[in-house]
Amino acid sequence: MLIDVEQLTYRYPTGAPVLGGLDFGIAEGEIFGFLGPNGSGKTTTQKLLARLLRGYGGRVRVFDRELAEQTSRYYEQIGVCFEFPNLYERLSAEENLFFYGRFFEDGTDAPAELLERLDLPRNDRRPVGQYSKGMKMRVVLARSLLNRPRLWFLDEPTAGQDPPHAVAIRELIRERARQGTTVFLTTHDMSVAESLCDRVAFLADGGLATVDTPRNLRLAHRRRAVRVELREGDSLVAREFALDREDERRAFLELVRDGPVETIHTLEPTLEDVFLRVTGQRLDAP
Amino acid sequence: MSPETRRLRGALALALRVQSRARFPHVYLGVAVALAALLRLAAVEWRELLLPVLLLGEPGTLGLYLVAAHRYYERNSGMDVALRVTPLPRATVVAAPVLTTACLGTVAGLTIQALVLGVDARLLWLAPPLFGLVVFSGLVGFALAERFAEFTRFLLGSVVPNLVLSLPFTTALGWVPPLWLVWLPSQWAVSAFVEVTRGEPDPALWAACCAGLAAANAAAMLVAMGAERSAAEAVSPA
Repeated sequence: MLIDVEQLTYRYPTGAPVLGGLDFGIAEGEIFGFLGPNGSGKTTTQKLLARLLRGYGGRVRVFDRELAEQTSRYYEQIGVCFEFPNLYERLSAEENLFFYGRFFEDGTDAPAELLERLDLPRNDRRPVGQYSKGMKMRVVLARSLLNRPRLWFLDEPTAGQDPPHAVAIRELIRERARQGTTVFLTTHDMSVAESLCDRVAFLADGGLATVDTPRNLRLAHRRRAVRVELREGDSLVAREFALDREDERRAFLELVRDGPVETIHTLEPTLEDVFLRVTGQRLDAP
Repeated sequence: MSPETRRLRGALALALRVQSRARFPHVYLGVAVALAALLRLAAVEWRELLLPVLLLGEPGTLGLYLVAAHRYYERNSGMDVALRVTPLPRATVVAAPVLTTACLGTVAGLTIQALVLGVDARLLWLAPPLFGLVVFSGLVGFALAERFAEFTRFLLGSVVPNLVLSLPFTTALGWVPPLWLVWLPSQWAVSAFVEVTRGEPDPALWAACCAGLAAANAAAMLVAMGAERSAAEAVSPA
């Protein structure tokens, strides 16, 4: 395992415990989604793993070494994409990346190429303060890739992006994972998690409710049923058939053969439905 | 070049670029030229009296506020957090904006000197204590910026340290006996200035003043790093 977490606990100096004993492991090259509503502790977990917060309880091993014992060498191997556009706003995008890249020992990718990969203009001398929020976030994303990280932390990577750029970012994440980068993705956007993650962890109230692949979670909580929409006169009527019952299965097949069927859908739950069932909480809860 | 040296050079280049875009050199040199013009217009006795006050006071005071402004800019943009996930040592994070500001302050002080008294070799002797003084003021500014989350509270909180640091400059005006202030690093800069500008300077005394400033800066560096660490660890749950 690239990351091995046992009984991780954390409490802010002035507050109640945020994390109450997390256990999970992440394999090299895996895209691991950490999902939960605001305030569930997902960003705190990422901050702990990025060593922005200290003083955790439990055991956390990354790159086969306890997190608390990591040296500055650790930062050569990780990239962190924050959920807010933290940049020197008076500098251009290329300047932001160029100067940041000088802090790494092991060599970095060319800033201009990374920016171009994220559909940002080359040789643009405008300060990033004049960019839109989506553009700034893509600069932050590019910066997090500068040092070719082995472990890449992403916090809401597609937030604020228009659909084409969100698709491009997802493709970039998949591409890096195929090349061996391990991705730790925190989000409350289930569509991002569902389309990207090899496994997801559901976090609620500082504890892990479950860890599994999106497919397994959906299968485990599915209803074996289909919903059929058919036309009756001028109106559209929906009917559901439980596939585990012989009589309903036969009725469904007859309807498909003879009836004016317009649509048929299996009633698999979305990841969001599964989250609600497992944790009893909605992801968009305040 | 070792990785640490490379990182320090990178951090200095970044700090200089950020400060240039924020027009720190314009502020420093603009004020220096304005003060030099004022001194040139002043009567000779006033000029001699005010020269050390302005030559050391302007770079020192501006150093405190500009380093703090640099730090607030980094904090408000979230760049302080972004820098913490790089291999950049904390000492370099603190030192880079202070050192670049000290270079600007030294140039500003020497500009005042050159414009008022003309260019001569004594300028070179003045550079080390001037640089040391601005480093000290900058480290105080950095530590105060880490201590106060809001800039307005910093402005209030910086009044007393700034006044205390400025006290030795008033010795030139004869207001406060120098012996009372011998423990203040800014007093050592004033003493070095006096040694440089008087007829036959004592190199040993000048060197002692510079060494004292260096030691004070080492201590101030530890305080500023401690303040940076405390601010980082007091990060909010947001």
